[in-house]
Amino acid sequence: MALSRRSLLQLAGAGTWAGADRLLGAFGDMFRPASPLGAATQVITACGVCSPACGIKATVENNALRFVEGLAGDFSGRGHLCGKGAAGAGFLYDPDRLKYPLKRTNPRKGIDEDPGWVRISWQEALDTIAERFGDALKRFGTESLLFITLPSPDVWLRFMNAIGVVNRIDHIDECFLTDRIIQRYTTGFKSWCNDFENSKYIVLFGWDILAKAKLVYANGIIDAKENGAKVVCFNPVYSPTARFADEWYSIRPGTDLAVALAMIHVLLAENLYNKEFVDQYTNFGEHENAIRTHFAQYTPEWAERESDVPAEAIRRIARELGTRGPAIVPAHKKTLCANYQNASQLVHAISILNILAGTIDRPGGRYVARTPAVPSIDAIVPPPPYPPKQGRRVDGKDKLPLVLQDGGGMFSTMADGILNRYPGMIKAGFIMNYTALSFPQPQQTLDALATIPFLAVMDYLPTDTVTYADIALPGTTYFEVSDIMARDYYAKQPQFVARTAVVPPLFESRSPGYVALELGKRLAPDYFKNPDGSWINLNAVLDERTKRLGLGENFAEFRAKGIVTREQAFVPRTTFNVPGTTKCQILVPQFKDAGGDPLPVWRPKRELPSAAYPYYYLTYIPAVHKRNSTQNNPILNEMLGTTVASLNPQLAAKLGIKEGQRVRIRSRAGEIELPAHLTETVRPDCVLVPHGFGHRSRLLQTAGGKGVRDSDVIPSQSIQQCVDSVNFAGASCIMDAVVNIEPL
Amino acid sequence: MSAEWSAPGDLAVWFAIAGRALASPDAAGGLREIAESLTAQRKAGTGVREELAALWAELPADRQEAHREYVRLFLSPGSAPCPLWQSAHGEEPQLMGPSHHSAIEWYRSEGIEPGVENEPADHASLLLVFFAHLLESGAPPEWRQRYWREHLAWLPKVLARVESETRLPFYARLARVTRERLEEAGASFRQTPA
Repeated sequence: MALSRRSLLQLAGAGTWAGADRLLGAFGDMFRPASPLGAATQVITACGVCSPACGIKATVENNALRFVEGLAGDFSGRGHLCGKGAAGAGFLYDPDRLKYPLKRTNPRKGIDEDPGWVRISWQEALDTIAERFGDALKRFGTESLLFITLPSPDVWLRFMNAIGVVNRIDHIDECFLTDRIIQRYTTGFKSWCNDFENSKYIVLFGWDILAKAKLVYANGIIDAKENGAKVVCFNPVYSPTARFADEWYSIRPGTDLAVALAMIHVLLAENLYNKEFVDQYTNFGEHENAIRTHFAQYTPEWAERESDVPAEAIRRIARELGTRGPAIVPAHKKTLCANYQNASQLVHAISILNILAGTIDRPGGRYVARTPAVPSIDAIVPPPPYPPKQGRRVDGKDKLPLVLQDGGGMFSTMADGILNRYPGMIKAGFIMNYTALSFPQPQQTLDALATIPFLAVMDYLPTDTVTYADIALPGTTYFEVSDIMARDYYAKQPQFVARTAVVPPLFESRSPGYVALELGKRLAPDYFKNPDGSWINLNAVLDERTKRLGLGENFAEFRAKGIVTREQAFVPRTTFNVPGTTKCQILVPQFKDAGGDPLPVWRPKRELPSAAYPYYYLTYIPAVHKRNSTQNNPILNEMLGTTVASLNPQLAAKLGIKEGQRVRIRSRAGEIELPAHLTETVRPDCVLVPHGFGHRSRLLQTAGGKGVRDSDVIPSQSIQQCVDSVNFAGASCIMDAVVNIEPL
Repeated sequence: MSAEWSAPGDLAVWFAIAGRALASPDAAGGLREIAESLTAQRKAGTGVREELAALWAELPADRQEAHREYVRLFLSPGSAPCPLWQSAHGEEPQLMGPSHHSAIEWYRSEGIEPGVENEPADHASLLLVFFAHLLESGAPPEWRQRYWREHLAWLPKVLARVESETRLPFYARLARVTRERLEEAGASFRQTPA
């Protein structure tokens, strides 16, 4: 009979062995007396893979996360997790994680250069960064600093405001920047919220809502269908959502705008819009003649010629949208429709369709999230007045007034700014949780970063960008930090979930908040003190936030509750928070003032097929991945770990390409080589490649070297190109490329 | 081997020193004093003393060089894939995997646990020091055998990789001697029915 370890222990007489403590006594810092054995515990937290932050019930044992599952009662995940969320422990326990602060000893930078890392203390890392940034500030001013980071947590924003940073850049131009700017001036709110469950008619331009794999979206549109809604989908790809829809049209890439304009034309010409809503809550009456005259030109027959969608179908869908509502035309983030050069006009047209449907903040329509404001660190510990922001903007967004006002972006113009517009201006950079793959033409981005004399990068994995760092800082994952998550996705009523550090930060990883605070203490100490002169304590700020929101006396009390919902009835808005008015705007005068179109004008996409580049290039994010940040997760990588180019068999036959054969895809920006996959799901004039692969860092054992970078063939842009093309809301054009395809 | 090792005491000394040396890039500092104390207390045999002396002779004079090499070998696994966490070498490579929990169970059976709680308990340094403890403290042979199978059988292969990857004679010798001793221990266990 095999003996259990316990019985062996008993046989041996635990703790009675001769000399049991002698040797271990010499290694007292490696071991210590065991604490009382605790049972496995369950902790409530919120997923950090994507923004809806689905509730999680985590099982923790021996200071290690053992299991995650969806949290019942959470309206984001409804008790479930998507594949990415369920694989979350793979992020936390990735063996490739950055574990300690590292300093580069090899001054040569390149993806194949060994950085010659040496381990350093946090003290040395922070002192070095502060010294280099402080020196650049003193000698070259605030414009010499580059921060590639989101403005969160808000202590980061405070830090950047305190030292007057003008060059903060994030990926928002590739995401919701255009949508957010256009919505602000048309409906007065940024919204991720679509009341699908009460909608009866849904028109999707490009947005592959199911493959986006946010449960909150997927659940919503499935509810809609179950409640009898009709779903219409325009997409060059027969996507999962297209399969789910009642009608699908294989639209020509970049021509969604033509169809949307023609639908507005029909609604106005046949007076099928919601007259009560439009008359009472919009500026239609003030500009009726101009609006009707403008859209009269965009007939369904004209749109058919641009889009390949039959005029008869456009006319019928517009009529159904006007009569079978409540109807929604969602627009969201990185969709096929929203990242062409004509995205500003398209999102404006989509917003007008929603306004004409009369469903803005109405049941069955797009609505304002009922999310209460979480008190900022500046509200809790008011700072001294911030210095004015002075200096040149390396991404050039001062040329786009609405983008400048918004504050987001711009990845697509950054490399041009560093290399061509203001060479040598940036002297010190800090990158947090972004890799080069996020940018169009990533090698150009890496070349630009290599020109920066001092670069610090914080991440939880050794990404391509980390290999260019002078100092690499180990960041935390979402299982190692605490915060209050206020729902803003599909929030019809306020709900809070505690994001809880379910395990201590692994190795010497630290949170972004810690780094901001420590750099702040070194570079702008007056902004990081309490009124009594003591240093700000972020745990105390979190406790105060909890208290002010009425969630508990402190965060520990809220954490014990895990989730708090405040039931309230949905009361539709009667005023809208549009700048300069309380009404929704169809004609937007501010767009004209900003160099844009006050009403959406037909403009073609940036790149059109030509003799040299005859095919449309499309990219997508596979459902099992989030952008380029999840490919090193072993579970997700096993599900999808590399890239293929999807081609229609008709096109493949024309080019002599067989299934699995390698092909070269070339654009004016660059080229990639990868195997072909033949499928009827893609139009014969397109090729489809997934985003997120082609990590070059050899330090990523799972994802490194697998697949190609889709963005190698997507041209970056200059700010002048945005201005010249009336891309006034700053779309990054990451869907806007044409290519040549050849078999190898 | 130039001289006989008086197992298990000498082996315990070596595994404890090796575990310590693999714990961090700073561990080589002060290690020699600990080793001298241990060998003196335990009247260690000539074999282990000779190996330790040879190891000290390889200690790099440039501390940063040792630092850089430690990071390259053990913390930047893509450069030289020698991570020292057992669960990083499992069927599904990860940190804090089943061997972390199993190792903690072993340590707790002896009334101890790792000194830090935010790092995996199945790091080779901890596993080797604990094995030294089992050897020295008279744990039953079947228990040592079981521990070796559960927590050390993976290590010789990784140490062989260290030998071939390292640019520093210190880590090459440390890895080679530790690997040989572990393999000998494994071979002796294989001759003994579980």
